[in-house]
Amino acid sequence: MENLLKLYTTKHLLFALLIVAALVFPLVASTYTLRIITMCCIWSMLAIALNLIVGYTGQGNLGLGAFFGMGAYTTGLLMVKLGLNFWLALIIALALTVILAVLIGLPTLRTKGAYFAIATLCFNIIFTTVVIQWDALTKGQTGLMNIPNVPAIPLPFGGQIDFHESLAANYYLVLIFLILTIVVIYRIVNSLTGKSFLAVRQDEDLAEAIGINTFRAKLLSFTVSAFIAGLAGGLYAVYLGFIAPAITSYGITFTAILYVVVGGAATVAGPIVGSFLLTVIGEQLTAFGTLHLIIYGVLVVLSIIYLPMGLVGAYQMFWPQIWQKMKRGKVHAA
Amino acid sequence: MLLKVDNLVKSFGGLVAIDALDLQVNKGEIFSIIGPNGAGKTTLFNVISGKYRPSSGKITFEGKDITGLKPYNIARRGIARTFQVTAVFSQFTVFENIVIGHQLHAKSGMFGAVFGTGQAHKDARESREKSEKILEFTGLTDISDKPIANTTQEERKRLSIGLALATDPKLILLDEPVSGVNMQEMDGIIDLIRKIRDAGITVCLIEHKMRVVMGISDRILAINYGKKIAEGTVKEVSSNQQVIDAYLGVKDAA
Repeated sequence: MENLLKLYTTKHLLFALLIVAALVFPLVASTYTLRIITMCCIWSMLAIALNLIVGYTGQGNLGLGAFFGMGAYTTGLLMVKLGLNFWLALIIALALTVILAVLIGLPTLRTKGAYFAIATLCFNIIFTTVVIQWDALTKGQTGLMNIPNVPAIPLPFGGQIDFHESLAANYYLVLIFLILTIVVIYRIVNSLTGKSFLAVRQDEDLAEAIGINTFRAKLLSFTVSAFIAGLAGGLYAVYLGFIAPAITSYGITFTAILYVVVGGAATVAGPIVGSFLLTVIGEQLTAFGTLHLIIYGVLVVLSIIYLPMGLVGAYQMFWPQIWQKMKRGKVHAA
Repeated sequence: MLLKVDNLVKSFGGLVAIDALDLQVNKGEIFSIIGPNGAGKTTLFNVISGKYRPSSGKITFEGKDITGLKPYNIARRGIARTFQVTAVFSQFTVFENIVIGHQLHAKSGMFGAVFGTGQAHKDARESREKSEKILEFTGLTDISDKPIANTTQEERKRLSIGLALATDPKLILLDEPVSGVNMQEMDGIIDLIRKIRDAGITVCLIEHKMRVVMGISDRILAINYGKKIAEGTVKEVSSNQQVIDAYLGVKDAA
């Protein structure tokens, strides 16, 4: 019991420390680093979304890029075409993303395994094609430019948070949404609902037999996952101010899959660790010029072979054993 | 009468697995279904528990028609089941397995968990408290934190029964509860089955081992080729000529 309490508090202490570090980070980081880390936060949210449906619920959704793109394009278009401010645009975009997710989830989730993966992949390809072809609305391959910034937030004691000039303000905006997402996901996966997602992944027949409506569980997970992906997309659009059809493609999904697999599927921290690590490594490797993607690929393959459960999965598996050994060593020494 | 099956037919293409079967299970009894391999016993369980839709016929539970309902709905009505190939959630611990069995009684959903409502905390507490009781009842308290990979076949058998009990069933369907365990362990599980009945839960089981069936059953149904060949008390069924023929073969006339 005492050990359990210790574990509980260290975990929360670590989380609090990380948040403090993230908060003071802009004070010490260069503009370049801050840009990369902001992108890491956005990719983390996408990876968290993917992890919910693929890692926890076991449904190989290859259509997540479309929901990321849906969030990004709807937010961007509402701001550019209708002149809505970011917050209103984001809320409408998320509502539309959820509706699209339910409409796509209802038929595709009736299929299983590889069929589901193919169905969602097809949906994603159709979505991207529509974005490219619907020139009048989306500006096609040219992409949607000049998406305005988040409107300045006035402060109660005078002054304002200006998103136009300050990179740090944008970083904090994304960071707050990332933290919110982590808290929400943490609560979901530790609840009975989250356990029912894990149950569906492990044995659908058994899950049904103990009273879990597996279809409903899958649809819920699929929709929440799409919602988070859409949120990440909306933030991406307003942060970069420019979006192109490529960000709606299945390539986005595969990138997120890499982050989840390397970080650790079905863990809360895994997708975040994977996103940060791979994005930062990817940036460092650009020094190698055209070789960088090959090196990146080799690193990913090696990690999948030697750490099949990802970094966080391996940590969770081996840390208790190492901990035990260390404790035993201490006892012997005494 | 708790469960009533009328004129049930289940066919797969041309193969009739269950053929115009009638049966009834009374409240508070241990009711066994016996029959040679391929007689249709597991198919019968699959139809009652909603995994398969019957081709025709009617299933009534507590006086209500449950024919063709989905498995999760049938579980919510109060019928739990175990599987022949012992099924538990292999990536959960023993305790987590039982906890998830409470899910169907949880009044709060995902939003409750996200916003940390009182109901969500209450559901979580109730599921833990109930799980501890069931672990105690099934004799698994000592291994509650074990991952499934480190458990024995007998422990998994007990756990699969515990998982079914966690749904608070009125009727529990056990598909070969003592297959794959040794003699000593078998006695333990038989005791557990009696304990379940004594706790007021009606038990319906499929079993091959005659010693087990004859020892614990209040009534027995014998089927062959999907048809009923005998139904009654242990004595009646074991002395029935058709049952003996089905199990031992018909004596050659020559």
